[in-house]
Amino acid sequence: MTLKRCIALGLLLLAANASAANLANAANVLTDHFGRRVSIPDHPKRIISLAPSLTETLFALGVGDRVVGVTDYCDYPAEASSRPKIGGMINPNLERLAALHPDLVLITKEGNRRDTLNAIEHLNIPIFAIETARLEDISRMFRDVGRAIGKAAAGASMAAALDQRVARVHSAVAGQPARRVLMVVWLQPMVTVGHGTFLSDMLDRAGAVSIADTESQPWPKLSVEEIVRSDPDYIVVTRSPGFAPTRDDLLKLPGWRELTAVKQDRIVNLPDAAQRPGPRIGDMVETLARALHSSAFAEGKP
Amino acid sequence: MIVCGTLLGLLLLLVLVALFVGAVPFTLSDVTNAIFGQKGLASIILFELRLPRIVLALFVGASLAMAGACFQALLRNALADPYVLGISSGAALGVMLALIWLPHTSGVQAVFGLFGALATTGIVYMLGFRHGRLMSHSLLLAGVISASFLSAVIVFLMTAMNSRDLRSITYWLMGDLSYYTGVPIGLVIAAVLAAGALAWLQAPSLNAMLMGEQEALAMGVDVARVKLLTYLAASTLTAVAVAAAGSIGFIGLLVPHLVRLVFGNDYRILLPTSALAGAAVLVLADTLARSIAAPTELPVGAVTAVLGAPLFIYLLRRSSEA
Repeated sequence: MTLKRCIALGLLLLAANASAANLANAANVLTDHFGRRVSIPDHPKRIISLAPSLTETLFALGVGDRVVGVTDYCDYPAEASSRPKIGGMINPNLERLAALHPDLVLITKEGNRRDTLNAIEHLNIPIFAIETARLEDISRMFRDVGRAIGKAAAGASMAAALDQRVARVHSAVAGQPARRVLMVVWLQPMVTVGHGTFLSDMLDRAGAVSIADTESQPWPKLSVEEIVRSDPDYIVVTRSPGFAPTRDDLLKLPGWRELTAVKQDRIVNLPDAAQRPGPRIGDMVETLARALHSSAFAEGKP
Repeated sequence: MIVCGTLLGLLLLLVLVALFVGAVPFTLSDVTNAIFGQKGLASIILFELRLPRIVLALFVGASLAMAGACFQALLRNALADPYVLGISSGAALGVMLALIWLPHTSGVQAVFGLFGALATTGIVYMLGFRHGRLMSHSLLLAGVISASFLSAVIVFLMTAMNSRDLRSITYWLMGDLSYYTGVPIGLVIAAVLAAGALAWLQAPSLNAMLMGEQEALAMGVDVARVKLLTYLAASTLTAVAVAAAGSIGFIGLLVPHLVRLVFGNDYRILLPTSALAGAAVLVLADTLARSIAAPTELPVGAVTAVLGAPLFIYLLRRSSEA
């Protein structure tokens, strides 16, 4: 009897040891951008992304085949649209998410709700939060998403490439006068870019400054009077699906006809990639800089 | 008794159906496996996602319907609903302040919402208390004015919010049962049971007051005390419901009237049947909201209105023909 008990106890201990060893091997403990300690399996195989910027990052890191769920807004690259949808960023469907058996969920601090993170954490699904408030956060996202999915080297090289590219653009426009820009995020109401966002950083690196940069809010709403008073050098329109105003549309707005930038057709259109703090942001910084300072990039300069 | 028993049976049947319906469909064997101890996807979805949400819908629906019935009696106004006195606007303001000040702290929104609702309740009570007693018409006016003032403050704050918080608050304003994990369900149940019992204890006096306050006084009813306790019970029911699930419209207005059309105006029957019917309507509406357009969830408040309005008109026409 006692021997049997000893054997049973021994087997039990062995099993416990084995599973503990498995856990230690299988999991990396990383700190996410909320400062949470998250235990993530080594090389997660079933990843769900809760934001378009994270989806783009995962595909750019070459693990698109491991993405098993995305939001309704994840449309880039085209392959991402064919992944199972789990709903919107604010109201993802938790049942659908759980049914996809994710071993890692990625979420943003800015675009998603903390409640969503708590609910998924409550289901014992590893969830890792990423901050993308500023331009430098985007390279940090590449590195930390890379670490989380077992592609640390790829993440680090993406981050370095972005930093180098932005630095190259920034030095190309270094001697140029800063363009005063009205960046149109939305027209009705007129939402533009204030201080301390990745878009205001993007303007800064491209040799420009938002006419609302003095506002304390990140996304200030400007009155027409204020726009006419500051008479921006350029108007930059960040387009998004269903939002692509033409110059004619702008001319119809009261007061806009008088703006120098409208009269001289100094209007720059950027695709919706400009509103996504993801892998295409380097292209956007360079596109913007070339549009605002064409002379700095002329005559075969880099 | 028989009526309540039948309604309770129907409600249990509805809960059972609601457990099977959702973004991820289950067969009978999945459910029985989940019930009899197999830990897996079915048990996670059923017991950690679906069941808590159904339970919350039951108690929020019951409390809104009871609160509506109480306010209709207290304010002597058929158009009264749980939100007429600005309690939900107060809660909305609390939730917005939580979103602005502490966007990343969990559970704090419900606490701020509850606090906003209770603060509004207190202020409206003080404004409605004239000449040493609670006046129905000044209470109603004070509530309506407070509601529009608070709504204006909410609109001002909305212009300063970023898009994520703006979308969050919009969902909240439409009524949202999808984030039940941050809500202490045990506390909600306890508060709803206690406040519901308090309201039910006033039922005989409310019946007497239906004939008029003077007549009730003559019958020996302590009208001032009944009004205070009814106000307290109805406000608590509303505050708990909105703090837990946002301002879900229509149930508080519609369900008591529906029940009146079927079962009459005796508050001893009206309150428990309203509770059961309110619970059933919200569970049904939420089941539809989370399943018909899955994975996208529809706002449950809109579903209650779409379901409830035609049913109400049908019953109203039938009763006026009879």
